[in-house]
Amino acid sequence: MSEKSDATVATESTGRTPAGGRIRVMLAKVGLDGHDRGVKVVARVLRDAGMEVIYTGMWQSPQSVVRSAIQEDVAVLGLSFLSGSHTALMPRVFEELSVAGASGEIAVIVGGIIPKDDYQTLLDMGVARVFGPGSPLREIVDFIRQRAGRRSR
Amino acid sequence: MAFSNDDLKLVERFKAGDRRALARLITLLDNHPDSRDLLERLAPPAPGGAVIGITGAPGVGKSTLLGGLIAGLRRRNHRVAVLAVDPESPITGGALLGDRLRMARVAAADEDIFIRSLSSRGVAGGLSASVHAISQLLLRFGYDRVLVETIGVGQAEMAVLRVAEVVVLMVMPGTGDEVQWEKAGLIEVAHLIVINKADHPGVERLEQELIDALSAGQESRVPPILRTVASRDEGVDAVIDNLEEIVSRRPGLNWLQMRTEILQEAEMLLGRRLRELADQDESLDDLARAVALGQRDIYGATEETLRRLLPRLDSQDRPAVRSVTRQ
Repeated sequence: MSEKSDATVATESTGRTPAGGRIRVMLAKVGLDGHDRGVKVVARVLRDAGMEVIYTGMWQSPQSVVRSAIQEDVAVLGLSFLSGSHTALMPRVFEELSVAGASGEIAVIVGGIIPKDDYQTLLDMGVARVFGPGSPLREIVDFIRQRAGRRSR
Repeated sequence: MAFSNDDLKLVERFKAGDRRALARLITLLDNHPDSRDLLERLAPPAPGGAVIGITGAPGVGKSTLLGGLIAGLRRRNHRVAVLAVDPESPITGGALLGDRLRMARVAAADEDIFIRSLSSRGVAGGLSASVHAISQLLLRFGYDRVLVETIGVGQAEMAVLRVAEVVVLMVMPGTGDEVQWEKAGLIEVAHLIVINKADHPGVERLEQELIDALSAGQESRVPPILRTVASRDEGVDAVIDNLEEIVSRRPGLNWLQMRTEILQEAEMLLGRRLRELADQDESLDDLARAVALGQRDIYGATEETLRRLLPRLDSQDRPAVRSVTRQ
């Protein structure tokens, strides 16, 4: 079996990247949104999938989240919204990523209470995937593994 | 280690002051112990920088105090980096790194503050060496105060403290775990002891217990013991005054100690390379089978393995360097 296929198999079954490191993910809540039960459940699931999960807590600004994500060198940044402010705040997150010169380096995913009508708007902004209520946790894990694998190759 | 072109590009960006490159090189050092000689490609840090360890039981207020220390050190014009070390799950290897959450008071807009969360990947991963190398990288980037936060239990965490030139032990009244610190040897390595949550009852008693435990041998071994209420920023300035004092009069590095550390690092890297070679060595499998069947003894087999693998340790055709760099 070639080395490459070994690495792929390993990535699929653990929290490791093909380069041999742990997959690093940051989860955050931006703006005036006081509910973080959901994002904490996701954090726990990703941890149990073998990833290193950095949780920043609530009431973050787009700038602080992007700066933290860069310092932590995460492959994926997950933002949770239950406040309805996702369409207002996400453009500012992407603006900060662009200012930092990190556009495209960090995959951004969004979760929480997102109306179906807003999915396309978010995807058009550059969001890699939207996970609404009822998203199977397994799907989130698989998606992050796949993105993190792409990053380190 | 032989570095890829992408790694070397990161080094150039690092030299130009690019924080993203710094973050990526931290990942490289964290994941690949044999990449640590990367530091030699960077200019040595300016004199006067210091690595400060902060340790204490969970819940004692380390991250809260750190928030105050960061702000206070910034007011004194230091550039501050924080390495927050949290334990990984022994079962899945995953980790929940939540220290940033409690350092939230720190201004996000301030580029002279850099916070990085690390998970302690067990003793075998060489956490202390990894934290040491990363601290050195941060000093070379221009952060002149590197604060390393760890819970200070277990071998891995104790080892982390050895990379810090100055160690702060945090305790709080009412937990009754004096014996725990003694057992861990923590009170003996501390240069400074901070009693946090000093607005809780039992402070005098705790202070006396600490003095008694420390002065059992000789009086001179009692480090400064300070009181803080970190959540209200009380006493934090005094902690910084003391830290700066300790940093200013620390002794220079001792060459004998450096000799020991060079050998320790070499031993660790040799062990890794030996295992890498062994992974591709089929004769080792045959030998192992022969030992299992009682046809060979383990010592002869070890000698034969060493004789076969040692000449190959230095060969450059080791498996390709794994890079963290994209593309």
